[in-house]
Amino acid sequence: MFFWENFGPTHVDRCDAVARAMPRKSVVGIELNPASTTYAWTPETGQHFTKRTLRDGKSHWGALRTAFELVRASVNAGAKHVFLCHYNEPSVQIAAMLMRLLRKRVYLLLDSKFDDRPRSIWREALKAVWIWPYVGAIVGSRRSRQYLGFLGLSNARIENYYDTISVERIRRAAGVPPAPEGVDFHDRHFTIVSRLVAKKNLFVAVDAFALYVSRTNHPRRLRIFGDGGLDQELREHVRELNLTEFVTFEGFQQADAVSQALGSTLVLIQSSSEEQFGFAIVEALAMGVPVIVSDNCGARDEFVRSGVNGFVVQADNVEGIAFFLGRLASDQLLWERLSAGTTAFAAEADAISFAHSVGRLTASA
Amino acid sequence: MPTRLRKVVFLWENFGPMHVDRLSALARAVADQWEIVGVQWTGKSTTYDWVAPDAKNFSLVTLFPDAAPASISFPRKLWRTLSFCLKSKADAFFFSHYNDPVIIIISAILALTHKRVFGMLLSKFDDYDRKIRWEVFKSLILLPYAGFLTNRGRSEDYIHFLRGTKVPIAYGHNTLSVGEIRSLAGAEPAPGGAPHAERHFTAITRLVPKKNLAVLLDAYALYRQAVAAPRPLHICGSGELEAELRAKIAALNLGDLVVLRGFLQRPEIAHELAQSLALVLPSIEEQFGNVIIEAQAMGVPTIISHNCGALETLVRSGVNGFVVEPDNPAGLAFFMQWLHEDEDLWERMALGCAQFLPRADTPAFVDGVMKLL
Repeated sequence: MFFWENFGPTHVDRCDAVARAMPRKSVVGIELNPASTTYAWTPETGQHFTKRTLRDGKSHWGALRTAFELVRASVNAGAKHVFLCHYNEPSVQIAAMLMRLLRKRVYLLLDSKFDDRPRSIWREALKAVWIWPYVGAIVGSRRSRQYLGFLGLSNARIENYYDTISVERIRRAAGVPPAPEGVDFHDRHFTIVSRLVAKKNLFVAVDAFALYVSRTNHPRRLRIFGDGGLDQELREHVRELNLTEFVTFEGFQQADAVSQALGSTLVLIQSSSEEQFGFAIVEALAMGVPVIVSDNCGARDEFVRSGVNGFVVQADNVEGIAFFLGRLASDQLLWERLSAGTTAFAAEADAISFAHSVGRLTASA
Repeated sequence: MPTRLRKVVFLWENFGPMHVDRLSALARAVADQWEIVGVQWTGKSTTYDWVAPDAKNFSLVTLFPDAAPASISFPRKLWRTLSFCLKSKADAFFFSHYNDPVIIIISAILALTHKRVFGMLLSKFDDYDRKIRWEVFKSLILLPYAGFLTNRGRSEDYIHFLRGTKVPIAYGHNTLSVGEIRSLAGAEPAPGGAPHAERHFTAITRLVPKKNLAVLLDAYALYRQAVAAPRPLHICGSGELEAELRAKIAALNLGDLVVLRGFLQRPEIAHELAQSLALVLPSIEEQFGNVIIEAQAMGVPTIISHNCGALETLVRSGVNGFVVEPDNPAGLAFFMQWLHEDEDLWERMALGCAQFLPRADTPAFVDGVMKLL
C-alpha cells in the first residue's frame, strides 16, 4: 500500500510500475484528498492498481481521525507492506505507530535533505525518535539517504529512486522523439517548469536569461510553466528588464502539455534555492533535454553530471547560468553531446527503478 | 602610564604558512589595541610537511618544541596547554580542533572562568556520514564558545545547526596572504604571465584516498584521448597512495604526461601555479581547500568537486572555474578540454578569479576576528 496526500501523474507512474513488476501482489494507492493542496494537476487513476480516496474535498478531519482511517484502509486492503509519505504529519506518525503495532512493515518515502533548510540539533534529535516506526525507506537522492542515515535508519534498509517517472508516458505525451531528434536545434526554446514561489529562485533565472539576451543577436524564447504567489512580481520584473518579447508565462499546465513543451525545449533551467528533488529535471531528461540546475536540487545527486548531461550551478550564480545558456544556445555540437548524455540517466529515472526498490525492500522482509 | 594591550591567543596544532599570514596581518592591523600570541603544540604538523616562515609581528609559542606529535600523552598535553592559557592572562582565545579532548576540557574551563573563547571551525555537515548521537554530543562540547570564526555556506549552516542561529559568527577563517603568493611566484597572475599554450594542469593535494586522485587520473586519461596535444598534469603532494598512483599512471600509459612532483613548499607552489592552466581538485571530502585561494591569487581557474568548502566563498561555475561531482571523470575531462582549447574562455575565467578573492585574503581574517572581539 502506498500513501500520498493526493495522486498526481508521477504517483500513478510509480504505483503502476510496481503493479506491473509484481503481478502476484495487489497494489493499493491511498490518497487523503481528491485534489492536491499544492498542485493544480488533474486527479489521476492508474491502470494496474487500485486507488482509494479517504475523504471528500469538503470534510476536515483531525490527526486522530485521519490516522484511524489510514490504518483502517491498510487493514481493509490486507496490506503487509505500507509505504508512507508525509512522515512529519502527526496523523501519518500515529498511523505508522499503530501499523507497527499491527505488525505491518512500514516504510518511509522521503526526499528531504539536510541542506533544504536551516536545521536545529534538538529538532533533529526529536525527529530521530519520530522515525522509529519505519523499518526502511525509499529516498530521492544521495543527500536524502545521508540525512536518514544521520537520523538513525540503517543504510542497508534505504533504497534509491523514490522520485521517478514513466519515461514512456512523457515521450508518448510529447508526441515527438526525444532530443537530439525531433524539433530542430534552432527552433528550440528555454523552459522553466516550476511553481512561482520564492524557493524556486526565479528572479535569478530571469536575470540570467536577461544577461544571455544582452549578449546575443538572436535570443531564444524562455517559456515559464507554473503558477504561484509570485506571478505578478515576476511579470513586472520581466517588463522592467524589457524581456516581454522573449518570455512567455504559460501558467500551470497539465502533465501532457508540459511534456509537449519539453519536446521543443533546448534546455530546462531549475535554479532553486531550495529543492527537495525537482521532478521537471527527470522529465526533461526523458525528452533528451539537457538541464541547468542548481546544486540545491536533490535530482542532481543521481541524475545530473555537469558536462555530461547538463550543468550544475550555484543558486546565486546569475553570470554562470547566463554563460551556460549562451553556450548551449550557440553550440549545436555541444548541445547534441549533452542531449545524448541524458539517455542513461533517463533510463535510471524510470519508475521501474522505484518498483525494483520496492521489490528489494519487501523481499528482505 | 601606557594602557595595557589586551591579549588574544590563537591555537592551532602546528603553524603553517597560512597561519603565519593570518596572525601577521592581524598583528599589523591591531597593533595599538591587541597583543597577538600564537600557540602550537609542536613544531611539526602531523599532516603536512610544510616549513612555516618565522612569525612576524606576533609571538609564537611552541608548547612541545622537541616532541614528535604522536609522543605527547594526553595528561601532559592537557596540563601544559591549560597552564599556558591560564598564565597567559589573555582576554580572548581562538581555538581550532574543537573535537580534541584537550580543547574540549580547556574551552570549558576557560568559559567557566569568564574568558571569551571562540571556535575556529570549518567542518560541514556533508564532510562525513553523520550520526545524530554524536552531533548532540558535539553541540554540548561547543557550548563554551562565545562565537565562531568560519566560512560562508555549509560551515556556517553547520554551526547554526549545532549552536542555533543566535550564536555570533564571522567569516574569514580560511584566508592567506594573496600578496605573498604573488610575490613568491615572481610572475603576473593569469591571464598575464605564461601564455595559454605553455601552461599545464595542476593538482596540489595530499596523496590520500579522500582526495579522489584515481578519478582525476581517469579524467586526465579521457582528456588526453580527446585532444591532439595534451598538456601535462603536475601532481604536487605526498602521501600513502603514491605507489598506487604510480601504478595507475603506468597502467593508463600516462607516464610521459603525468608528473608526480612530491611535496612542495610554498614558494615552489607559487611558481607551479604561475605556469598552470587550471587547478584540479576533485576531492570526495574537503573541508575547504586552501589551495583554491592560492590558485585564484595567481588567476588560475579551478575545476573542483562540490564537496570543497571553498565553493561558496570563492568559486562560481562558468565564472572563475567549474564545479563537478566527485564521481564524474567525464565531466572533469570535458571542462579540462574546454579550458585547453578555448583561450578566450580561459582568459575570461582567469579574470573572474579576482571577483571573490578578497573574501580569502588575510584582511578578511582580520575583519572576522575583530567582529567577534
